[in-house]
Amino acid sequence: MPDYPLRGFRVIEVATGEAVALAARVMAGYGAEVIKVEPPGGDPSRGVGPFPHESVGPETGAAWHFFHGGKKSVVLDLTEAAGRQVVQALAGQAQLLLTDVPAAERDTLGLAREQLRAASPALSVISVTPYGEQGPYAGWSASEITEFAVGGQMSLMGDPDREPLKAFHNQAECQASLHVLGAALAALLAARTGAGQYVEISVQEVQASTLEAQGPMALNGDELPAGLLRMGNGGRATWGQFQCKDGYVGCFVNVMNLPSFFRAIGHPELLERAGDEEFIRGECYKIVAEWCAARTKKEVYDAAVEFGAPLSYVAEPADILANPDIARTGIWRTVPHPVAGWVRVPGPPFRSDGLPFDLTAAPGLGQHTAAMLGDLLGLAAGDVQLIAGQSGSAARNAATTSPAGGRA
Amino acid sequence: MSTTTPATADAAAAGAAPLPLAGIRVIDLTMVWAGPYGTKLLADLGAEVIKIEGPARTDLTRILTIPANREFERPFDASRYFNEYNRNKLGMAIDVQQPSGKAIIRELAAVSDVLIENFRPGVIKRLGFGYDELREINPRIIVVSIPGFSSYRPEASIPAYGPNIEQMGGLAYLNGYLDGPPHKSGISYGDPLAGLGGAAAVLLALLQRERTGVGQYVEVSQRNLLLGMIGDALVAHQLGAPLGRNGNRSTVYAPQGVYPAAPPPGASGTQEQAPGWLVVSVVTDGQWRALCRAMDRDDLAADVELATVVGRMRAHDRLDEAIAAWTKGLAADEAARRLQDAGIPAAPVRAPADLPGDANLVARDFFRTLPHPEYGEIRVTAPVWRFDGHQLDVRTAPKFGEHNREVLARILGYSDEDIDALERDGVLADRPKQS
Repeated sequence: MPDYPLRGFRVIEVATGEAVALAARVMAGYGAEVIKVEPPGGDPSRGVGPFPHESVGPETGAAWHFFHGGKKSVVLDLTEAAGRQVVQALAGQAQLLLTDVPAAERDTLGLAREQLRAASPALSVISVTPYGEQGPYAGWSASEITEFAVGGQMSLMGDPDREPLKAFHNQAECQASLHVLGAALAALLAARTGAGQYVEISVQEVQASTLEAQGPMALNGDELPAGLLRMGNGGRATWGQFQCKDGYVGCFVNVMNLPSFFRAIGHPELLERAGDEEFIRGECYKIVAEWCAARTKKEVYDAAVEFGAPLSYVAEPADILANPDIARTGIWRTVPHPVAGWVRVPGPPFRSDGLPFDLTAAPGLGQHTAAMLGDLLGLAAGDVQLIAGQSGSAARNAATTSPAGGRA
Repeated sequence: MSTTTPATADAAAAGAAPLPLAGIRVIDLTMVWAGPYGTKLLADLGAEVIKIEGPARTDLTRILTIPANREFERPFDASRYFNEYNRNKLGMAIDVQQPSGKAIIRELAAVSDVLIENFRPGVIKRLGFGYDELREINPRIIVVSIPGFSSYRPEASIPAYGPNIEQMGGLAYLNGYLDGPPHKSGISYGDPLAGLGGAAAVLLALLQRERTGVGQYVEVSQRNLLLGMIGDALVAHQLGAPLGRNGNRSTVYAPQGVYPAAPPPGASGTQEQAPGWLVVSVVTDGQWRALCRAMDRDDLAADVELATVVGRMRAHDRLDEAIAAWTKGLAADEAARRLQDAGIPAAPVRAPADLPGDANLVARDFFRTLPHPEYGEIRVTAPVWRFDGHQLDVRTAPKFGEHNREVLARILGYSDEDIDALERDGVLADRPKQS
């Protein structure tokens, strides 16, 4: 059996957002046993899609399939006392719990800091919320666009003469997922002494601490020049996106790459005019645009390789999946999908022979409820009472039993 | 773990729990944004991060973001950019092209846990600090590289910046206005991801080392990290249900958008083309009814077509106009407060210049003021991984070469005479060498 780096760690996920979902997925890939606690109706991402044609279902959507690969699903109703007892019993058998439940709801769901500490003093907890657990906005409702808006990044994205632009889906949460992952790993390291750690992460702070040069300048009252505000796709010959024959390409060139860039576009003589901003935005912009328009994405990329110039193309999903250079890095994992057969998903975020990574398919709703409660909490099959008389796998697999008899 | 560091000694003296990463020593050869962003996260938690520049190889950010309207004794220590992402680190300036400079890195590697670098692929090996060389000196060392693409040819030879990598990693294709072309992020988005990935890779390898006793080499590709941020789009493509650019709208609920707002009271007009912007999401049918009430639009509430998400998606353009008509009479903060009171996700779009005045960030003590030799005081952000029960202090970023002497004496046992000689030979520097 490969030596998975997180072998032996058990992680409980009580969350609906991508920040926890993605971090937990990576931990599952690296060998942790990740138990996703879902409400009887299932995690909201089961309903997000997109879905294969005429195959809408709780296990078929792209979001569910991607964000929850490698995990086990346990359905618990945390609004019921029995569900809360079970989640605390599970926490007592785990090293880590990841949650994004709003701070105001934690107490009633059995997830408050003291309740979890009582479950196990060795348990570490990562709590990620849009605005942090405390503060004047702690109770504010949030969404994919509010999370991207309140930390400064959205104001910098988009065209200068238009409204600010949100990045794809919930990038604020995706970005925060790496913070959750890092903090979780740091907590596991720090907890070797026996004491569980409690770590709080605010997505607003993640955003506001990630503002390149603009953040540190503004924080100190320095005025930002126009070039550091929203600037579309660049708009300069040496810093811009251009149309090509079959899509879009990019020339994003720093000073040290100017010679290779001008050689790549067949105009080495223009190098001496690179410092003339009017030329770069005017005449030179037209030259570069024409050069790009006459080429395909592949031809532009070939020039990047030949001349060592920072040229790129806008890769579409089909390009990415077909790219042999990407495949060679070992990023893909192939997992079964209930309708499509097999699909490829991004696997290990890091490449190392010493860090094996594998994923199973995202679980069915409550697929592991009975087994987990039996294995971990010692509940006999008969003790795991299933909700009777309700339809759907969620209800069939939802546990309402008291774990009292199962605690060692 | 390595020898006692100031962080562990301080904690022991104060009787407090050691910081989460106390005792971890990191040799940091990275520069600009990605690497320093990652090692900042480690330093914030008490790792001893030794940032190494060279007399003629200064971190490029040292020449950026230096206010033009002031005089500085040492302008290369005054970069706002540098000071934010390099706080809590020790700083050395060593000429690693000279044999005695190389020796220092190798001696440090013998007593360190981690070396992290973001040179172009292959450079670290040529310098003699590749994993295979360093593991001979210290089998426990972890070496992390953070290239743009990978160390495989041909892509290893292509220089790449944030927007290049965003294009090649597929995010640019999915970003963009509803009616527009692919779009880059406002920041060099791949950089912080790579820094975060580098930090997480370090921590994962440290955990692994607890069991195996040995270090390893880890490559963290910026492009590959970005692929992990669009995995649902890659799956959707394979399901025959591809995703396209959707601007500021949601694919699941409606309406959602960015709307113009009135100037805040007493505003000096720092925003560009509109005095302010507000974002609003209507996630549920109940929130839709609440929004209609907040906007005093009974007519919209009564429209059965709009009672469901399908109808609202169809009417999105018209709803955007209605919402904008209401928001443009209100300051963004006021409109957000009213909508939040009604249970609707809404928020002002904060520009960087707005953040120091953000009530939530201020109340959470997110901004720290540090002493600074050039400014008197400088402001930086607080650690974002808030470990409960630990006092996560922030120390000013190092002056160029500030800790040359301290590190060589304390960690490697060099004598004053040894260090004087290295300074005379130009192996050490406390000012960048003019090129």
